[in-house]
Amino acid sequence: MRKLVIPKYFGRPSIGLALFGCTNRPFYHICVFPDRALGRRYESNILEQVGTFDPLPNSKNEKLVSLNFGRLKYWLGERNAHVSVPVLELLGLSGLFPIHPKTFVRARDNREVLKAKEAAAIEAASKKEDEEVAPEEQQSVAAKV
Amino acid sequence: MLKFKPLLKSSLGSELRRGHSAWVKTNTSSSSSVDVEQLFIDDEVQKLLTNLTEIDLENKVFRARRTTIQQRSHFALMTEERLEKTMERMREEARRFLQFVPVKEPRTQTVKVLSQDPDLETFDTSKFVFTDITFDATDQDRTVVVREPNGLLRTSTPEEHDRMNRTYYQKPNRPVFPPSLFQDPFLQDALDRNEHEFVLDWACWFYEPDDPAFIELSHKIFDRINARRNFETITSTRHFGPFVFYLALNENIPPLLNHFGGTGRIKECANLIRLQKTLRPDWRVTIAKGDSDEKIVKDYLKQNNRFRDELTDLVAFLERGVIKSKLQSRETRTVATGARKQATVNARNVRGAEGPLGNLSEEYAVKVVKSEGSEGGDFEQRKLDKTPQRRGRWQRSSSKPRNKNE
Repeated sequence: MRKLVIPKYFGRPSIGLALFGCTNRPFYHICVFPDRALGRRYESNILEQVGTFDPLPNSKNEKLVSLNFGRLKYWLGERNAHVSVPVLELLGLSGLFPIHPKTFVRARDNREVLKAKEAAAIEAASKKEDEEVAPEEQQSVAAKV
Repeated sequence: MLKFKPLLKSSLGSELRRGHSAWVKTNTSSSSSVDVEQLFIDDEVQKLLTNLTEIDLENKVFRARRTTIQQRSHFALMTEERLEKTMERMREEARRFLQFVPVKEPRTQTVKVLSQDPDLETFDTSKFVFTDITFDATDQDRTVVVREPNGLLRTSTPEEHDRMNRTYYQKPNRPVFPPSLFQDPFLQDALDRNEHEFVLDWACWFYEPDDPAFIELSHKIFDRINARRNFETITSTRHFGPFVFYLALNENIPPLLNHFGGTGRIKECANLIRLQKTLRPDWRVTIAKGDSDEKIVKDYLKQNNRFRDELTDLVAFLERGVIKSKLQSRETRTVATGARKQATVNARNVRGAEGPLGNLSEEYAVKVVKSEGSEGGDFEQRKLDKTPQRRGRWQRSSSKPRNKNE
């Protein structure tokens, strides 16, 4: 027989992002979800909202994150909640946790992409200069002949 | 909203920012450092400022204004005594409305670097702003930190901090970004329309009193008032105290002094001079204990001969007793109040067309039960011909047919 439990007080809750935006406008709530063992039936059963995350930068080029640190400390410390990777990254950036390895990896990848782009741009520029120089030389050679 | 710091901390803070204050402009001949916040809340200064802020009940404090609260004007017939009591009550309420906007030093613009991580560079293209929305945190002590794209974690500037407060804790008429009224073409527009009080009130609601932007904006408005000499726009408001304080602190009082002198208010002139001499103490020009108002003003004129060109009205008043703007101000006052009649009902006009009945007085006979001069005489008579009278709205309906019969 199935045993009835209160999801709020049962097992190990997890903290993650819940998509609350609409079409073409992502917006996340940072939420506490009940124990995975309760099954998919309880997946959308949010225990508490502990913050928000707006992934679209505003007019000042800022991504706004709000976190209820008091409640986060409760869920992490008292209830030993499992935290998903995106939230771990945010907490690392906020200075509450050490920075997540994935953030470092992304930073490195971005740097490499930027470097490659710069190199490509420089190469393209030098090629253009060569092409501009080359026809002039040909013209001058023709004039001599 | 305002939190008073413990005394020790504030005195320490004043030592830290010794040297320059945002309220003291650099071009004045100020030599010493001043703690402006402490000066402003000093009892003596507060008393002088309160005395300088006249309370104009009808034209300023309780004038008709647009609000969201719907309220009807209330008319009442009163005896002299009760009228006085009511006016006193209203004056008390006005004093509450005229509580000064606090004068504060701006919060520091420097930020603290919490951590620097070169490996994090270009982890994202935009900044991340983290706001603590814990229930206990107040608007003042809320933690707001910023992670720059180059991996720097720092505390927020006052502008960012207040913007996050406005984003996550909304209040009516407090949008996230400052309204364009506070920027120049529109600000000048509003000031041209003499809406100084509206702008300052909104700024006071929108910003914190120690926000650098607020202090800058209020200084801008104060300077323009002083340049245009339109002090009437700001008198008898809660911004007049800080305005006078700002002028006196920068030793820039001659225009306002001339304004007071032009209207013949020698007491205000003396108070203003007293204020400047308290804010900028100088042993050479101190005020003796028994000095009268007139002597204080004359002494000031003697000591500051260089301002004589600016103080023409005051000099004219002192020497010849000419009140230059009295006639003008009276005219403007009557124009401002418009054709509004002052209705007073007394025993003489109560029966006529000027009384409360107006044109209906011809139709209805008005009987005065208790006249103002002779108390009790009519009362006896009333007792004799006492007829069963109904009260309230039945009274009129019962009196009407009787009138017709007559």
